[in-house]
Amino acid sequence: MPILEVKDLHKRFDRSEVLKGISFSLDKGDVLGIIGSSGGGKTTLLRCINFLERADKGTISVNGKVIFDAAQHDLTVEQQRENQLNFGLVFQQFNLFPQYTVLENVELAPRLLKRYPDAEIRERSMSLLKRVGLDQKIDRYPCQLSGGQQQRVAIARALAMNPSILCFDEPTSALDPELTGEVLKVIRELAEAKMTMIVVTHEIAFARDLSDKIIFLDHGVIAEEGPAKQVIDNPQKERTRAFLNAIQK
Amino acid sequence: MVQEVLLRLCAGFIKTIELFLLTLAGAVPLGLIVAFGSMSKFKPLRIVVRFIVWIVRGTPLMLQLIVIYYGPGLLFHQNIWGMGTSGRFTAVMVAFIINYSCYFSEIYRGGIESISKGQYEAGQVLGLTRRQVFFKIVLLQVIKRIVPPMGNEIITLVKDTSLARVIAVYELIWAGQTFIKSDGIIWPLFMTGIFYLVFSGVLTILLAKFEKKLSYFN
Repeated sequence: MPILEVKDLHKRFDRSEVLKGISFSLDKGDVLGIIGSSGGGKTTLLRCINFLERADKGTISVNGKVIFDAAQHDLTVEQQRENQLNFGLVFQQFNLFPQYTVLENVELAPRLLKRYPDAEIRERSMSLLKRVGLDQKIDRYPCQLSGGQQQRVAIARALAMNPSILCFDEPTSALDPELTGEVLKVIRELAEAKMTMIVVTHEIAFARDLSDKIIFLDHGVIAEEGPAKQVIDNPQKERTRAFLNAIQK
Repeated sequence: MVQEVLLRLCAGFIKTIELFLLTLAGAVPLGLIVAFGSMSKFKPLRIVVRFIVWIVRGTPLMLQLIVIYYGPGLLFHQNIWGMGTSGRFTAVMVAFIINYSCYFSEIYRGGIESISKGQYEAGQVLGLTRRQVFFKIVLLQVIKRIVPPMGNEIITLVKDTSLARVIAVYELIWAGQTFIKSDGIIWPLFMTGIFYLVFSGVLTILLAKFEKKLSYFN
């Protein structure tokens, strides 16, 4: 059974239909890369999955259990929050909390939601920060860190709530080119550790190496999908070829 | 003579401080409620609140003082403020708190709306409740941003307290001015200016300290 199954997701903003029926599934431990031009619906799809937008139609299931059904409106806020916590999201703009230190950023949500005993939260947070290579900077504030370091903290913060599926929304787009490497390295290590992930990215080479499967999203529909190397190296559709050509020039 | 002047000025100054502190104590929290009203998703409430804020900010505080004190009695033959000095003081407090709540609410609104959507969303995807997002994430960032404009309003309030005398509340300037009539001397009035300067000077220092305390993040 796939860990994630998205069925016929639709989303409309005013006049424009941004998602026109997206369906895909993802197996546990796999990495799904989502590529496509701006305005194609990549970010909206990720935001719908993370409950930041409410899809107009469609369902989302995790481990076979429907956690979102656009036709149903009777979920309590608490249920919705629990369902949403299946996912973690790393933003393009990091969105760290500026008034908290690195460690406090990571610990804030688990502490407020009392997910684990305090000592365990500390232990887990420290090991997450070690994993992203920032265990020496736990007392720094976000403004004292580089963009790459901030994004790595954001990854640790998302992992602190122990999501089943970790989503990345163009995680390196706001970074200076020389800082993307350290973030990509962390994501790669997570993939090697069999973390289930969805990565929206413009880094085509990275998506090719990292992903098990790639979706090419174009004008709100999945124009092509398949094994990563096949989609990138040998695209079947004209639209995909045009996009890849344009981006690699 | 000097002693008598100082004694009388101090009595007026105490009233001034009282007005100042009570106005802050009332308007700082009430302003937040007004701010939430003016940002409400419920349109009728939002429109009503913004209309009231417009009226209050668009008319002189002195006019509001007079209307609030005399209005109920003259319009409805109902003296709601009670007799004597305490009644007048209550009316002043009500007028000041309403007036400053409206000013503060606009500062709060500006501060709250200046926080990026990403901060709310980051809290939301971590599973925090709306209340937690506001109090644990957004609030301190808002406070940091509103300290300078709030400082301005607070300094203005120090001087606005002198308006209380239009409905005969004995405050600092009145205390100083009485000596012009009774003794033909003006230096007590100059001294009131020094009281205001020292008071606002102390506040300026405190506000700068507070601002510095919050400078560890941006």
